[in-house]
Amino acid sequence: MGDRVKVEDVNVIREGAGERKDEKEREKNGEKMAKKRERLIEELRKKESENQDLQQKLEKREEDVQAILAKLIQDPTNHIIPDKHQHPLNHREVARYSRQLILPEFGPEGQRKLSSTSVLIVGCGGLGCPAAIYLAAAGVGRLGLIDYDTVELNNLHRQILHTEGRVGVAKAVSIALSVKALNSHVELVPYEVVLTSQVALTIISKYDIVLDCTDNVATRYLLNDACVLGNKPLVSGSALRYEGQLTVYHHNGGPCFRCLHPKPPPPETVTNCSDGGVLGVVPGMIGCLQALEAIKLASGLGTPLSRKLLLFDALQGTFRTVKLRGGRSDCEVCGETPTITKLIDYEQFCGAAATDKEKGVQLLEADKRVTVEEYRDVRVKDTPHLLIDVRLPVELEICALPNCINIPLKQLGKPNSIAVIEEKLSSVRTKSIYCVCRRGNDSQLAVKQLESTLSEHGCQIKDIIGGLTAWANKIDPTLPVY
Amino acid sequence: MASQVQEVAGGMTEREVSVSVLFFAGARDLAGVERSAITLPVVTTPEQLLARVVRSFGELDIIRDSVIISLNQEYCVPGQELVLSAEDEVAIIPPISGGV
Repeated sequence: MGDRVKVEDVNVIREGAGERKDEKEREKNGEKMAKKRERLIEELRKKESENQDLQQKLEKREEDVQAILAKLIQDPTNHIIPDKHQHPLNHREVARYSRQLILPEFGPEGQRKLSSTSVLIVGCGGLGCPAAIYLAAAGVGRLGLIDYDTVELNNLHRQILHTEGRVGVAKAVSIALSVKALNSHVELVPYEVVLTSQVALTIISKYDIVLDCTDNVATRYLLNDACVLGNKPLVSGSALRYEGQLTVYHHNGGPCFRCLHPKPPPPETVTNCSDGGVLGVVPGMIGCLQALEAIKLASGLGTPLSRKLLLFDALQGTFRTVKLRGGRSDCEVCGETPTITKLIDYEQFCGAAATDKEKGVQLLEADKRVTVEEYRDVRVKDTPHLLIDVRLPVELEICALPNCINIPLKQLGKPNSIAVIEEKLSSVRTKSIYCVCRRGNDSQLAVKQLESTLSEHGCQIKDIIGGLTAWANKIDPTLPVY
Repeated sequence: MASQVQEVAGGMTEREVSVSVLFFAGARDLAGVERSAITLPVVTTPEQLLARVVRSFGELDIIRDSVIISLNQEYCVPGQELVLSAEDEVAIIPPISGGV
């Protein structure tokens, strides 16, 4: 009994000690919890403030988008833009442009002139992007940005002011957003319009300098004539594959584009980027140099590239400058007795559309063409035939149909190509030929070519409408489209 | 320069000389080469010069009306009398108009 009491006593003592211990632990835990709570509250506050920042940024971005969209001009017939005037540089401008202000040849005067200059960039692509961003960085007063087109994924390797998130957005808006993010003090006027003979002079008259960053011959002649009639210097850049050209037209007695090229090139000799390809850095180089020439013209710096043509060869890494003539006295537009005194129909003059967009052509009669569905049946039924892919070998590396032979269109008329085709026809024991290309234009030319060289053999020669692009879209989506 | 032209034109018009011809942009595609040595009359014009180049590179015929010709990096005015010598460099330059 006494033992039990002892044991109980011990237990009581133990329990008492345990209670004290628990209390201490509870206190400790409580402190821990309180600290944790504080920490969590602190974290929550941080997150809330981060969230607020992000929301503000989003709102700011949305405001920027709205501000740009509010300025977007889709009908330029009556738009009014106030003149730019020179103003003394404020502290912000002095700080911002200090590194170019200390250049003796440029200096504050050059900056004031540049800040009061308006530059029109026609074409917001591979040339227009670098030109716009360098002009904005340097503090040009106003940038007009013209493009009728919207951003596509295949633009982004060279048109560096557009973004993945802006695929489908008007290029003029997209470029304006990037420019605004770099320098919010540059006045931006985006135009989502096609530059036509009806609107060109109205728009050009509101700017001091025009940059030709376009992609087609018709617009080049239109811009040239408009700049002569509107008396504006034209900084002309162009680039394709690995080569670029740059000059300033209609400046200080120098030639215009027509002085050098009175006749437009035959349309079939003009290649666009989509067909010819271009390495993005090449228009990047030329676009930067267009910005440079515009800055020189605006500020009076150095000697403009007038009466001189700069040729850039990226593969060789060379720049050459060819001395040009002065303006031609018998030039049709800038000569002494011009015959072009108002803008004409340039698509008609050039025999080509004022766009570099691929247009489907119809050269063959319907019975000489098959749809991709019809050609699929030929393959499914194993009907003996010869499939000739007339694209370049490099394009077959991107994608091709199995069991085709590759003879590029340019090689098709050559005797050894004919020999290869005839040998194949006899080995497959067929007289049925199908020609395929990327989109169904070259394949029609191929049929015409083969008809004239193979006709005596009684062959059935057809092309596949829409080419491999249609095949990828309608028959086999695993085939990439380029 | 003008007196030199007359001197040479005086009695040596039959003489020929081999010069470097550079092809740019579309002309390079059509000719299939960047540069070539072509034998030309010492005294010539841009038109005759181009005709000789087209004779060697038939594919160029299609753009013959839309190219600039330069001699030693200087534009040749149509009809201008040119006097060539062995180190000379002729360039055939079509405009790049497609593109970007």
